[in-house]
Amino acid sequence: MYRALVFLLLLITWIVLSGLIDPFHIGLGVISSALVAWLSSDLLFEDRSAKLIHRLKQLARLPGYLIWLLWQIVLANIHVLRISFSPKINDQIQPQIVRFRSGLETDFENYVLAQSITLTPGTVTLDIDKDVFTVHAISDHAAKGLVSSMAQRVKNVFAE
Amino acid sequence: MGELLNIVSIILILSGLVFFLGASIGILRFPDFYTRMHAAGKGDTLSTILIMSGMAIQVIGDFEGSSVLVAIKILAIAVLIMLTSPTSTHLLMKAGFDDGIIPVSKDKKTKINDLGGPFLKDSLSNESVAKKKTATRKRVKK
Repeated sequence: MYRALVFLLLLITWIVLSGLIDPFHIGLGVISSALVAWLSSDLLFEDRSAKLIHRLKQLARLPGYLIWLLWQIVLANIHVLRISFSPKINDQIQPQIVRFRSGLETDFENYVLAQSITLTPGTVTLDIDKDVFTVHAISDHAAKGLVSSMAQRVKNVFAE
Repeated sequence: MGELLNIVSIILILSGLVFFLGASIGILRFPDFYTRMHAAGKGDTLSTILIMSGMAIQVIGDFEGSSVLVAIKILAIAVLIMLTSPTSTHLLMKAGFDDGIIPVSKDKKTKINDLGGPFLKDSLSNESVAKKKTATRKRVKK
């Protein structure tokens, strides 16, 4: 089941990247996708016990989170832009290290949260130890944004 | 229609350039390694997305099959940068942190805010940061 999913993902990537839709090139794509899916499909999708419908539910919830994240990136970028153009830069920044528990269980959820934190300008993940995050924030405003709802949103996306 | 798409893509690319400018000025003006990494590593995420989507709109133009494929490829570049750029920023910052570079802060002391969860009393108290600092100094002297 998961092997077929990996095969489909690879084939779609092949067709998009090659852009040639004729029997010869698609045939080559089918052969190489099948070969890669057969040899190394276990590199993708760690937890094979989850049902496919469950995965589809997670996939359906992902775009909402991504749009919210994009909006956060816009807001935070404007914040950093304002700091770097401000005449008295030292009054604007309050660099600090913040540590908190995310309360997320799997590695992948923590990875998504860490990536989201680093993507929003003003905060960078320094270290993760299981679910303990050490984050460097450039200002009080950015640090305040951390403890808002981001972890909860990630949790909602990957919920049962 | 073509005129409108042109204007939208130009606005997107220009605003991307403004964010890039802000990031470059940030690199020059921010006070220490960590804050500069903020500007260098991530000022470019939004600007890359904006510039790439501007280019994608520019390429799509007349909605022919092949140009849509090119637009998808351009957006794939934006996604790739969204995945790799935070990773490299995180690794550089982690390397600096593990090596004992002390972040500046307003009152000249490194403070660590513990937010949420039970209190954590392990590796990262202020004393251990100070220890790291002396260890680094010793290494530099050698």
